[in-house]
Amino acid sequence: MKNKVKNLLWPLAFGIALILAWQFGVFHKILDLKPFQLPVPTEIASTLAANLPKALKDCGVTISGALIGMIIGSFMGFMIAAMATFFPKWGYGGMIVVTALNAVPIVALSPIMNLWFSTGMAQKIAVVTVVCMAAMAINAYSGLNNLNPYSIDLMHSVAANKWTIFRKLRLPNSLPHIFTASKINIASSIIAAIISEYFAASTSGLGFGIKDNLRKAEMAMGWSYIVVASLAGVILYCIILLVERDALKWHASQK
Amino acid sequence: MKKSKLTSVLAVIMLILLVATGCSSGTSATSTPGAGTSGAEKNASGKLDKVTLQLKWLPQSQFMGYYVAKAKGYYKDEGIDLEILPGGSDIIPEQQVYNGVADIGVTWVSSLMKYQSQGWGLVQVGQIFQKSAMLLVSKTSAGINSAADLKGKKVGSWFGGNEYEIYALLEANGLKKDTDLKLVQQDYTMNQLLNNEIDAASAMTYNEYGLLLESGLKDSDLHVINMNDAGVAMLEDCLFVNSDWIAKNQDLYVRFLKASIKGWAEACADPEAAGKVVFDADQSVSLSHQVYMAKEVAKLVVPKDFDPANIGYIDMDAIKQTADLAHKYGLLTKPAVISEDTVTSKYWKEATAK
Amino acid sequence: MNAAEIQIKNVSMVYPVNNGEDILALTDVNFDIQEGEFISLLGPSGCGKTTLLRIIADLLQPTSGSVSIRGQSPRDIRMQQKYGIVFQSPVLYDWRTVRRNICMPMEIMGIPKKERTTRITRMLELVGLQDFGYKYPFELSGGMQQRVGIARALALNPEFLLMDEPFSALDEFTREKLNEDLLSIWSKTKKTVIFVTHNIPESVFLSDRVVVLSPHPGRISAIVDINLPRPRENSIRETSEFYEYVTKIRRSFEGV
Repeated sequence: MKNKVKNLLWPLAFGIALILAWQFGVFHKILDLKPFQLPVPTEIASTLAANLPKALKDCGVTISGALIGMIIGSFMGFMIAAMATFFPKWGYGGMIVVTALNAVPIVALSPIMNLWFSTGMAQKIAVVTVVCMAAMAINAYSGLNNLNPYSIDLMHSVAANKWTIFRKLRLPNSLPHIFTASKINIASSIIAAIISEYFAASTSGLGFGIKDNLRKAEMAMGWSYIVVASLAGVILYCIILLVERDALKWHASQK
Repeated sequence: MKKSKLTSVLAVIMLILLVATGCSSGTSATSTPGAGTSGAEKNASGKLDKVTLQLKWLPQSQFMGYYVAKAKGYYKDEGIDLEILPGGSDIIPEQQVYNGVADIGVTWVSSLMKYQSQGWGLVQVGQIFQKSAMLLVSKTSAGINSAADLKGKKVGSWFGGNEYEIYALLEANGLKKDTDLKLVQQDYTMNQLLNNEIDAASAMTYNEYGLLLESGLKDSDLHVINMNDAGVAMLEDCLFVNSDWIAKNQDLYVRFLKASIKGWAEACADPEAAGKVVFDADQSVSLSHQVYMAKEVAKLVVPKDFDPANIGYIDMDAIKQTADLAHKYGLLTKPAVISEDTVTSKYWKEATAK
Repeated sequence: MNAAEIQIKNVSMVYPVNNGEDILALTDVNFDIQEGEFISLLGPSGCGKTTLLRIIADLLQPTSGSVSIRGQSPRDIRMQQKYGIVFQSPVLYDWRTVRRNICMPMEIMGIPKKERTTRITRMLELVGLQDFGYKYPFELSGGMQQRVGIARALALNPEFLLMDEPFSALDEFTREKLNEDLLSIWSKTKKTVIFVTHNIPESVFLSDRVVVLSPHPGRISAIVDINLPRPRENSIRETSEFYEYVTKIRRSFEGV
């Protein structure tokens, strides 16, 4: 218990030191910036406090788009991995396509999705879906196929069919990999949602708030959106960690 | 556990970085050697003074005066070696000029006022466009015959400061921007309007309106709300500089302005030729579109009954209207301070003195 | 004379290798196994003993030759779920507790839940893990994990128990203890056991017959009947008869 507190105390102290240095102009000195170029934390905080209802609403728009896209993308990615596992001959083609899609940068993807979908939410979900598909497909595929030696033999020895092997062996074996993919995807889904909002046909969301305010020289407001985006990312990541800890009690990494 | 903690910290840092790079921040300030305040007409050594001009947007006839003056050697005549920096959606002229990446910038007056109100030491030193070029365009089939008809419609804007004329238009017509209609972010094509994804789109007379015509629509297919007619016009393309820079480079700027006015006058007199000059300098869009744009821009720089000798003139009434609208509709939280420190005709008078 | 329970006829196994020199894992192996017999396949690594076991289990198809079990193919026997296999490594599923690991093959075979629970409890007692039923594999030592693997195979009450060097990763004390336990379990069920090992005393202690295989190419070099009295306890290892069998088998290797 004592160790846990210690582990938490150091990063916390470091974070507070950083914020204090920021507040008292250390970064401004180093980078030769004026306060109107880089607002100080107290100004960001008071701006955020004054704008909280709108910021939370925008946060809700971005996060809901990110989560829906992540769920759809992860599901599709998993299905592609499952197909490649069940039907290795032709199913692996899906893996190749999704890996290639993974190489398309989000900034290129956004305008394309804007042409395909007309509302900001649909554009956002589409971008996030594509981004999340690959990480899930690649990780799930390795989880479904990197089995301990003999574990498939054990299944065969009692005449288990393909479906039983999938359900009782491949699926649980892939669980840690699915969590790995989810941890990657939670960060990238928020990034993708925000970048999509830079281009989207909508005026809500954290991405629009960041871009629009920074363009209009509303630096403190822009930064307050950045802070909200970061906090949302951290909170969602922690939720995934907690779920993982609960779901993977059996895994050596959770000792 | 340790490893995953590290991963989480990294993820957060990545997130912050990616979000923050969404806006392009400038590089550190550099001082530009200028001709000094001695009043020397030309650089004594015969060497040209380097000046960089930051455009608000991509190289196009919107900026034809500078391209014509450069092509004709008017800057060289004034002892200036001018470099023109193209703009773009992520390039903010105010930040470029403040940071010293460019010496002189082209931006919209309302946007400049916003930066000034936040404490950025920038000063307006010329006004190229005398009229607003902003339109709200709709297909006649949408039945938007007046601003009041925008009620319940989907209306596009580029935002980032380009939305305030629309806000003013709506309010002047008794419409609430948050509840009476839906404002959406518009991209830099007109596809959303062409595909009927939005009912009305923002368009500049010299650019996007031309794109609509080029796509096959006729004037008669379109209905236009003109901000000048609606009495909510805000000034657009102006010239501005960093206050510290101008203090040391007054003479250099006057020479730049002289050459620019000459270029603009020539461009407006023969827009067809000016469009060709721009096309030769940068072939990012077709020649016909550059020529179309040149003709439209000429109408903004030298409107009817405007003496071409007065190009660059700062109409203080129009400045006040811009400032008032910007304050009234929320771009500025407090009224703009209009003084010699924020907008000055001093150099324009010098440049145009006979 | 009863027909042999398992007949292995002219079985050969060739593993193709990229450079063209195929590896002869087994050439022309012939022998029979009687019902209820405890047979060891003994030999150094590379002699094809595991390959032979896997062919009998229908986890590998021989290049030529055939295996017939009660007149049926290994595949038929496998589909009838009559094999219980213990592998070289424990092959436990990390996400299942010890009890649920033992339970897993029984689930697939459709054994009723109540029966499964009874068997699990009995098997845990048999392998001395009654206090570890609700632990996860990562909480167990290597020896304990291997005992779970044995319990899992025995819980099926299989007609044919196939064991592939199940004790090779264990220390000598644990191994001898488990050897003794295995015999006492087998004496109660009298099922046919095929036991792969490279440990000579182990094969002598356990088996009715030891099939000695030699490598390059894998083939039978001797089949030795072990006529030691049963039931056997560890004290039998100290008798001169036991020692003679061990010596005899060792010599059969040196002769090669």
